[in-house]
Amino acid sequence: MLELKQEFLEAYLEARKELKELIGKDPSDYVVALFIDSQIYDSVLMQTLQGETPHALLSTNELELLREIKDNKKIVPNGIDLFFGSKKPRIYLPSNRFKLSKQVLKAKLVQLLAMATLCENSMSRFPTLLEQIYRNDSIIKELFSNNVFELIKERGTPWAWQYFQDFVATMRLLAIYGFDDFYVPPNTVRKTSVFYNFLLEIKDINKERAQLTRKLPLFDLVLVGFGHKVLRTYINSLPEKVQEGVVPQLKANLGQPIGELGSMFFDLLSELEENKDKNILEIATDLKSDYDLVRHWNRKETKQFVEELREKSSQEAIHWHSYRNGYWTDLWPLRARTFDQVAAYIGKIQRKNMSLLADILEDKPEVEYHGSIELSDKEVVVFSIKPDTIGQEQLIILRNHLLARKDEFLTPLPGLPDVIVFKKFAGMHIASYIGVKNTDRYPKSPYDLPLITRAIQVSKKKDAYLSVLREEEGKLSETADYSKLKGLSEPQHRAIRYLIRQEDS
Amino acid sequence: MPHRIKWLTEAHYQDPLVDYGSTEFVLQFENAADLLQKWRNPKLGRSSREGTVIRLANEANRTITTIENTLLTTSLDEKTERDLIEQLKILNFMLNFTLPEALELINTDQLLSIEDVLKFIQKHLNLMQQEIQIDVGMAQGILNQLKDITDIEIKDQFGRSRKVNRDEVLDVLGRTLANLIIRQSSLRPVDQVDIKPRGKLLLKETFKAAVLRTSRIPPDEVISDDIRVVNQDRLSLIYFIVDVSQSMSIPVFSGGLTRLDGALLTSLGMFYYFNTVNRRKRRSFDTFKMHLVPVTKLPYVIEDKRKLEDFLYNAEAKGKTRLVHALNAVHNHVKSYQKNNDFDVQVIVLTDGRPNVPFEGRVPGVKNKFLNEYLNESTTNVDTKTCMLQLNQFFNYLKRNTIREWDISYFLMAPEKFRNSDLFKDTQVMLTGITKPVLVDPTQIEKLGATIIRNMVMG
Repeated sequence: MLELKQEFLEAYLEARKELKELIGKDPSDYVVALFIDSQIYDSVLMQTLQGETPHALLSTNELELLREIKDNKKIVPNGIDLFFGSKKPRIYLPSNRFKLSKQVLKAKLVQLLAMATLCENSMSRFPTLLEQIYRNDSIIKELFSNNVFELIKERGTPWAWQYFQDFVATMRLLAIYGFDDFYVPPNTVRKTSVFYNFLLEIKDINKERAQLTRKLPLFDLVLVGFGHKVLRTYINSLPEKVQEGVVPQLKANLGQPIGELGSMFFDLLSELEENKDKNILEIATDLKSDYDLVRHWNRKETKQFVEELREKSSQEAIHWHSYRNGYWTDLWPLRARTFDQVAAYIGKIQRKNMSLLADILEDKPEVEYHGSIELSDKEVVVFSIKPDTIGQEQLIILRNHLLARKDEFLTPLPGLPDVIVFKKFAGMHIASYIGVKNTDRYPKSPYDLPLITRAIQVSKKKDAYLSVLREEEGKLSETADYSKLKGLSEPQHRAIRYLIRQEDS
Repeated sequence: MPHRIKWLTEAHYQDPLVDYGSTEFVLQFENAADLLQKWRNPKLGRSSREGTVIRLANEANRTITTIENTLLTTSLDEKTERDLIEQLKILNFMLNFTLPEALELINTDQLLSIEDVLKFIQKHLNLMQQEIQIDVGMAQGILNQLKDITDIEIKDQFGRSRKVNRDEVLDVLGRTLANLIIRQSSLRPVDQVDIKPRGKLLLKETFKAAVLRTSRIPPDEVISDDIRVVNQDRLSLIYFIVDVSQSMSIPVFSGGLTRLDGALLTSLGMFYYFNTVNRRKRRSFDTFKMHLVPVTKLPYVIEDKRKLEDFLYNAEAKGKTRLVHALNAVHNHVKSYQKNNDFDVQVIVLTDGRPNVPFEGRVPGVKNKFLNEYLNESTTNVDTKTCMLQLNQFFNYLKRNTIREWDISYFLMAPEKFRNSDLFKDTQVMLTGITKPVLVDPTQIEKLGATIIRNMVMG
């Protein structure tokens, strides 16, 4: 271990030196975090891919999914070197990377440190905002660990972990789309208990985080493209024999469509007249967002560049895979799809002049509000939610939270509308419903409610649920008002009408 | 090491995928009753089945993304890559065709039993084979997850839910109930101090143990481990007579719990209680031997757990209350199969107190004239009165048996207000000198354990 560490250290120091020669600078304020236990690295990697920052609390639904995939299915994309591009850049590596040769480690570090240098020096607001988001998530995590632990210890409430985790993750998602402001409770309620105080505090921090997120410039193409470009330049400077040994180990670093495309645009940028005297870092630091990277070329030109690169990439990418027989049938199509997704993203920001994350979020929102249904005694609100964050178990948060619209903020526990949520992926088009029956009993926890939960496959068949609908038609027109619903398809309307009639599961 | 490189151990950075929520999951009695009802009636758990399909769909979806990401970023050997591609194909098929269909079928209650699910899995396995070239073994493995559809959702006292496999239901229920009763029954008076070894010394057995240990005759020494004493615990044959007559189907407890549900849960709870006690005693023999006698047209004795499970699963409240017949079955069973007189017999009757089919054969013992006269004035149904007389005669006969000791416990499945009824008073008189009737409200499990165990085990 010690020997390996020594090798890593040498690779690290040499990488810094190489970087200075390549781009004229090296990073100064950053962290390289090495996980002794590679298992934890895997967890951190998966959670960051899901939650955006290494400290973001995930909902129990997401946690369960990730744990199942990591621990039981043993599928982890741990070839990825986790880089967090905040103002103080953070590089995370597992200790099993020490098994790699010094040359490979050095190449990886050249790329990672190059990206770190860009983050430190960039004119873009991306690293600064990401730093603030990171800080927000860290504060929430601290608050969570301290308060919830206390709550469980003092009050004997084992449900609190789950509830607060789900609350944080759900509110984080909702706040981004502005659905967190149904009601702002008065500050006096903070004194009531740790529970309320925590909820309010989280709500505020999440709101701030959401505003920061919406302001984030689109920067992935620039960042990864720059890293790719620097690494490629470094590799090309190596003797051919060394290259042959190093390149196959750099799948995650050099074999990514986003890196290839980003790097291509850097090549094109450096050929421009205005950039003649600038080195690559100077070019990159001037870019404020991905749009700045791609805006110099029209769609036609871009399509042509992309098409050429795609063709070239399809021939070369076979090096990254061992299952050569299945390359053209299975692996390239997969790679091509990712390539096309990045190409489509470039097309979109070029066409619509998009430079902020908010533009993308608004263009294709992942959370949509479709209005509400008025029943004689209650109200049912309808949402479409794509991310995994809110599964069936988290609907209760959504519901309880919506209750906060009450005139008097007595408790974040039951009182107001039921929820219907649509979720669509692959062949699944699910309509979930959560309703709460009336009860006089005081609930022991936010979960302790007489719930009605249903989840149905939204069917395009015209006769789906027909028998139920016909039977109830007379009653429906009298008791429910569907006029406030919007942006829903015919099958979705049918599903809603069916769910509304569900008194029992 | 330059200051910018940091080692992170678990102390610095906890595994972010730790599940905080999985602490303490205590199944309450009401929820146990709910579990039993769902287990007995598969139609009740539709929302739970729907939830399972959604979980599987989310999982498949996320797995697909992770596999794709892994294939694109991580260096893998040929076999792993091939396997992952294979999984990808199967999961995509599952997400596009199998799971949507499964959800639709569940929505309309067409995918209920494990047989339905197995048929469905086979159908989709065939479809997969036709549509895409797949590794059948792997596909079978992945599709087998659909068996989870038959799992039953349970909730703890805080309303948090968890799923239980159908095969494990009885264990979960039994454990919960037994633990509830044990926790209460251990509240013994403090002056009963256990001293070891206690009781009369069994010289012969002790000598034998010492010989076996030392392999010498006579043994060099006798140490405390060799000491065998007369077992002070009562060895009991326990017979639960469970009334499954029509009148037991009436819901009388909160939450729509019927008398039958109450009786089944109480007997199950006690069954597991004694099982647990047997286990805790760590003896080579069981202190309590258990039997269950359903009050059916032809009462029979159930001895093993498997059959008990079948009984609990299939028991329906129907027919009349042949309580005396059931008691006769117990008597015959003891006479024929339990010749060892060291065992006492404990008869536990769980009923609503309305026996209505008199025994046609000869009831052993002597008829109680005073009771006859008392009952003559009561408004209780004639057949019930006759049965009560027969029961009284039978119980008295058993109590006076000099060969072995018979103990009778009589539990009435009814809420507290039943205490004011004529039927209760009649039952009380009928049991004079035998035992006291105990009212059991299964929704009040907090008192149940204490009542039952005090009445039955500790006398």
